[in-house]
Amino acid sequence: MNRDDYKVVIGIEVHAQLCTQSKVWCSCEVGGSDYENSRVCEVCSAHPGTLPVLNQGVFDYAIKAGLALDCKISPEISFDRKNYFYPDLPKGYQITQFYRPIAQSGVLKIRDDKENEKTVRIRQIQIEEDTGKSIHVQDYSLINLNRAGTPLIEIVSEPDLSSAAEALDYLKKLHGILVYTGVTQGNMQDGNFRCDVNLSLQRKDQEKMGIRSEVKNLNSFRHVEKAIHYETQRHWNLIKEGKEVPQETRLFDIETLSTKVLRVKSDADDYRYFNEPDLLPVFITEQKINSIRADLPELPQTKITRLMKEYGLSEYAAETLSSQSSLADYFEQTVKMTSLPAVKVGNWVMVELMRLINEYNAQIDSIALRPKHLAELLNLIAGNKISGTVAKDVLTQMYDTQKSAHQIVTEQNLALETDTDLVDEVAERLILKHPEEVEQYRAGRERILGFLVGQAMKELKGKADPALISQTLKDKIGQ
Amino acid sequence: MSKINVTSDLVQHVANLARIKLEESEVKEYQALMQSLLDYFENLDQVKTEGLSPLMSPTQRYQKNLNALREDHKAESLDVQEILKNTASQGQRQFKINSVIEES
Amino acid sequence: MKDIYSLHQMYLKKETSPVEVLQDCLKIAEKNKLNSYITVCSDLALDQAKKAQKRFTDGKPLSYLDGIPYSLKDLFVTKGIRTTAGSKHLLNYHPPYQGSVAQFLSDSGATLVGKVGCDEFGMGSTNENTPYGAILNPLDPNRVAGGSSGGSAAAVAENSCSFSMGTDTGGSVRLPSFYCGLTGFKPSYGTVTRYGQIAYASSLDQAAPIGRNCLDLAAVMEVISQADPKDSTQLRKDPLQLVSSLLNNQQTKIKLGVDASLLEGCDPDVLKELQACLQYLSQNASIELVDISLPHLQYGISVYYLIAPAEASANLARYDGIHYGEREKAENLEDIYRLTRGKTLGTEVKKRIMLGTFALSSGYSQQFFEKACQVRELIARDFDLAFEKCDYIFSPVSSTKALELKEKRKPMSSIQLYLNDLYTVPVNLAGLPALSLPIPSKQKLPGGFQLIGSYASDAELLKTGYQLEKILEGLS
Repeated sequence: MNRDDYKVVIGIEVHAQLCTQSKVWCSCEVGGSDYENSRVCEVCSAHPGTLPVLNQGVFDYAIKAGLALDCKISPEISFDRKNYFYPDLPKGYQITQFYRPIAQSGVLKIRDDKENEKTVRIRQIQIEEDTGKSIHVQDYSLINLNRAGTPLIEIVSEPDLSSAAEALDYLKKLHGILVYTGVTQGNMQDGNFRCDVNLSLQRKDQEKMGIRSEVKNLNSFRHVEKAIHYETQRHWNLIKEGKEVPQETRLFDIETLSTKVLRVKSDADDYRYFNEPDLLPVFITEQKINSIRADLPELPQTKITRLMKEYGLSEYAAETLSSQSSLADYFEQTVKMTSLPAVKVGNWVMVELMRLINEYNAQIDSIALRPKHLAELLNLIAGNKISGTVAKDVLTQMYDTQKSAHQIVTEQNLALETDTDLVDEVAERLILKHPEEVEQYRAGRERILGFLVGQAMKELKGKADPALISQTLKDKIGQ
Repeated sequence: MSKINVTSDLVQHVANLARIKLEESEVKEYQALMQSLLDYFENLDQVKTEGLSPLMSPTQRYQKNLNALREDHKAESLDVQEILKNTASQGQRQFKINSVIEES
Repeated sequence: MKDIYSLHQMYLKKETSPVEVLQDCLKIAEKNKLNSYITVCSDLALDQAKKAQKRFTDGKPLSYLDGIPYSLKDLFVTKGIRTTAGSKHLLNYHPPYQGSVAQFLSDSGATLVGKVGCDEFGMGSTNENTPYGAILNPLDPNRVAGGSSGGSAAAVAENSCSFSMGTDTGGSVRLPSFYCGLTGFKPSYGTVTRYGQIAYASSLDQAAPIGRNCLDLAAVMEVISQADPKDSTQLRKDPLQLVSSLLNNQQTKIKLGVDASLLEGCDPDVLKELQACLQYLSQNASIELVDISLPHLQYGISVYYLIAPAEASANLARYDGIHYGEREKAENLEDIYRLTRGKTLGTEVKKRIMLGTFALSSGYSQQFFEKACQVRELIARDFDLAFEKCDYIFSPVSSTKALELKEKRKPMSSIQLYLNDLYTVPVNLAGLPALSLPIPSKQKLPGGFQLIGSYASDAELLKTGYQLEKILEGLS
């Protein structure tokens, strides 16, 4: 028995909280105060006689997510009760969609381990409600129902993933799409986006799937990776000893980076799914689907491909700029207003501007420095008015003082030296001062020119166009 | 429909699912009761239902393409005192159970 | 006690007043001879009566129900007023919110005498399934008032209120109305909001009033059938406009459908009365009797006692003692659940939860729950076909009159007790409206019959009931 005889088979279920104002079945606020039990009403605390009413916004977001993932949206959806007992589930059942979920048969393209494109099938997307939160303190437990009734969509993939790397790519891309389309805030530490991983080892030469284990409630990509590695090893250890892998649900322990079995209940729960009699089926028209589709922003994959094509960006640059749709927008707007090549504009936005934004913990949407201001600066570079080095400093000042590029360059006299006579004079002086270097250059060692350019920049206090100096030196040495 | 033999194991299993503790004597009582009811329900075997859609609520027959939806607006929640006033045990603004459970 | 309409006229003419009437009601309610009341709301009711009185003095009554005393089955949630569902589990439960029907009635100016008892969580047909004590039949204290809305029927019959709100899931208002010689009306499913009505079986429950005659019930229906966005399953958005149309009603021709095989299932004395009633009605020029057949009704008990407990098993899962309700002391979570539910829920409730859990469980749900739902469709179709031939269906309410109290009667098996509901459950399964009307007579326990209408024919059904009442007056 060889480890290579087996392949890893992974399916992932993601629970994403939706960006609605109110909860799925009642009008209590979603998000907002953390003060315990401050966002609870009789409906979400399941008082006798209460009934659910579906939030229109949940419905819209769920369709949006379905369209963004290329799913078929069902023309008629209904809800079902999933029955089990837990203190964070006050009704004693969760309202979910078991029989007729809102979306099915979607796809998400990822990169496999060999960097080739791979299609992961999405089985379905269903609308659900989140549970409350329980914590234990010493020898008792406390329950806070603020989160109970928060709308969720559960996105279920087919078991098409084969490794931790693939799983991570899937999750990052899925996360990106859902955040992009505004469906979820995707803040994993806050529990907006949680993953359950189902894993089994399957003999490569057999059709039959191995017994799978489920690791629930992973809320960071790193934990997903570690959990997959741990589970793969744990399964293999059991298999190579000839033992059966038990079908069980496990939790990830963030301290030991391992998984442990969820306390086994005395009887496995049979959820006894049946149609939710307190809700009517919901009809989804073509019109509705089309109006939501019209509202969809350009999705990350499409944007990356387009940026690479339209602007000649590298994949890395296109991916980085597309990580936030507002970042990509900023880039594109800037490109339109400057003659500096797009690839260079990309670098300025990705590197210099983002450095400032991260340093000040700001958001690209809300900084005072807008594309037109950046474009002004970049035009100065393109027109050889200032050097790249100086421009970096100007950018920082623009950010801090909100003065324009022009203003700063003028006030501080930062413009490149355009007096060619002065450049000539400095070049000639340096040639005389450094005869060995000139000889080496003439002998073919071209790179020594950089030293001479550097010396010239020093003399000119950085206010010279290195290209001009370089050309002047070349010309003079050539003579 | 096959005839169901209601055993005490089946009764215990159902009681577990329903989280109801049954005394020994009650198990026997429920066993007899369920058996007699299920025996009576066998009359449904006589009814041909192949291909028939189940009717789970009258609304299936009478809802006329209207969707029952609510605008996504937030409203005031109940005061925490009201939320907790009927519980047997509370602490730190939360429902309290004297037992350690898996955190969620 | 006078009926609502007459009382309203007397208030207008100042022949009596809301406060006077209420005080008489409170005296009876507090004596509680039939054990109707769990909670009497003296202070609240008096305050409401005084306000009503002022409105009549100013000539500005809010509705026909202004100043009219009523009671609520303890399945209706009333903010701040103890609501027990007839259960030990909710012994000390004070709701933090107001149910919709309770609010509509409060807004109409009616005065709440109190919360009346019922079979626990609405489960039962004799009102003996409750720790708050059996409720006695006002016509014969050795007999039951019927259930599950026994408290409602007893409270009206003993004159402690003019009308009472009950709930009807399988006959829980029609049966006690019949047992106590009153009039009860179960609206079409989706007519009255269920928000604030403690759920038993969600696809079967409807709030249903008990009163003295159809006009009274019409006045109540106008108020309680208002649109409520908090109930997704309320299909009717415009409230019923009834009182005036009843009063202005012309006699219309009525085709009354009768399935003779149904009558044959009744006790001889009940059968005789029904046949005599039909005979009398058929002599009236406006009434034509038509033969119909409802072949799947014989399966109604199996269908109902699989579907209702299944839904109930989920609706009652919230009674776990964690967030509200009585909680048994235990060392771990599982025991908190098991002991709380084992000890604070009654026997009949536990039986139905067990039955329902079984019907939905893996390996059995197709054979039981799904099958029952399929036969439910066939029962609904039986009614569709019948209504092609007739306007309303005439049937028994139950095969026997009011049962004797448990201690006095021969022991009955669960099935035998469930069979009391044979004629009433199919109506809930199909979501149809139905009236329980008494047959006037000088007997201690009068006869009665059920009048079933097609879906959403509530207004016409009440008008027809009103018309039949007038015709049947000739029998008394």
